[in-house]
Amino acid sequence: MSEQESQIALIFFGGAFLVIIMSTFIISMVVLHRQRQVQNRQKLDQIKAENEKTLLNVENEIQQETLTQIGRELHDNIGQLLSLAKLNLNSSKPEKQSEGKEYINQIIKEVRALSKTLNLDWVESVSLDDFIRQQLEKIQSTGFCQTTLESDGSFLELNKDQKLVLIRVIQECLNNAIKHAQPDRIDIRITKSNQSRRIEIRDDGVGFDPSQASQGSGMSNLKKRMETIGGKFYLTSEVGKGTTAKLELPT
Amino acid sequence: MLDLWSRVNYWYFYWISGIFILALFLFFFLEKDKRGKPEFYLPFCLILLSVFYEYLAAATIVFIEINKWLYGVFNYPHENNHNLWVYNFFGSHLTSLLFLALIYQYLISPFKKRIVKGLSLLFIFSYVVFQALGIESLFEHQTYSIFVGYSAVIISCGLYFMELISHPDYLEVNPLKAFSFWQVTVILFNYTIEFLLEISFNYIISISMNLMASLLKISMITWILILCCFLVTIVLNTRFFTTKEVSYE
Repeated sequence: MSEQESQIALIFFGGAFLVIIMSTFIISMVVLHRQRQVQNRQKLDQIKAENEKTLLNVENEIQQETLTQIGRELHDNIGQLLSLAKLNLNSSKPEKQSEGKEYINQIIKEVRALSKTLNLDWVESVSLDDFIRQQLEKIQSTGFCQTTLESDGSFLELNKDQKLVLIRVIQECLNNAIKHAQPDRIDIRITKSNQSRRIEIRDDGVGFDPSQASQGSGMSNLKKRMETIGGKFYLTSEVGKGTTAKLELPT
Repeated sequence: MLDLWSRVNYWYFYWISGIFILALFLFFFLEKDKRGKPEFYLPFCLILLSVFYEYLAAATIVFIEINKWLYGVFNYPHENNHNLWVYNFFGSHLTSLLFLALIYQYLISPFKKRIVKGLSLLFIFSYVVFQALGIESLFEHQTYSIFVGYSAVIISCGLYFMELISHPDYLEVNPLKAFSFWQVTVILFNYTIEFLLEISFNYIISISMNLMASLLKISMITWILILCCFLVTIVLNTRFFTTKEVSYE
């Protein structure tokens, strides 16, 4: 075999070998890529389903909380007004009758206001700052503890899902503070930095040791809920020095 | 000039010149914003560089004054009229850096991008050290620098493929329709062959010149494949075609 012929043969076989290796490589990459693509899509679908379930749970809990509040309002407020109205309308005195009619008007207004809170449309109309203010005013009006709110308006723009989750998490944090901490004051601070917006809920209650594992799943639930809206949840506490819950959302 | 013509009158030069002319013509039919993107101007620069150094290499054989002048500048004692410095500097090192820059653009994960940046800096640093300490000369075979440079490119190709099968953005893309996939595949194969060739250069020559010549021809063919890949990328992104390619943003 002449030199040129042997060269051509070498090129041919070398080239053929290279083509086979390249084709095998390309086919393997494509197959592997497809497998990973399917796995990734399944994972994304699973995460999406979990997020939707979490949001549904949040909506249900807000509804339940709202129903509890309505029950309380019906019993404490409207029930009393109805009894007063009955007493006044049963009287023969005209001034008592007109007082009774005024009570009826008041009851109608209260029932209308309560019925609006039965669906979750109020979530869309109320800002997060107003909601927090209302909650803190309710706590303060019971004489349980002092409350303050400091806000720079960073959370004025939120979509419905983010607002629902934040409302629920804030409600839980406040409920936990009231149930466990026995604080003299609860302070809420809303601030913004370059990369994130933050809500800090601080109480000066009894605090707890975070290294002690808790039986309940409350804290991990709050963390998980914040993660569904791309946020983070931090809890710091020291025995005798109060507790701080931080909710963070990227800007 | 006849000497120069006899050197460039060869199938390889016809191919790279043809690809260069088409790329030069079609690059200006790319949309203005695409021309400024590294995914398009880096392949174009590589085509340009490829043609430039091949013609320069041919010219330095014919016009020996260029070599003599450069030997004088670097105080190179030998007066062999060879053009190895062209292939060392432009063909191996500068080309490797441009490939590293191109693969850097295709990577999404910041960590992998940092690795490629680190490999590029390591390559430049090691080259400067080898030159400064006299371990290698620009005018002789630069095995160590080529080893570092080619390894960096091969590792970067590996990082790209890792991302292709793991990063969520790449998992949504059909790799057969992604220009980056084809480019990096051919780059990987070309560099693997050239890596083995360059590292075992003296050994293969001592065994068989035929084998060396055949392997060089195969590496030329894979190089032309790379340039064709780049040309197709430019062609399919001109105003004449609407592509269903992934966005690299």
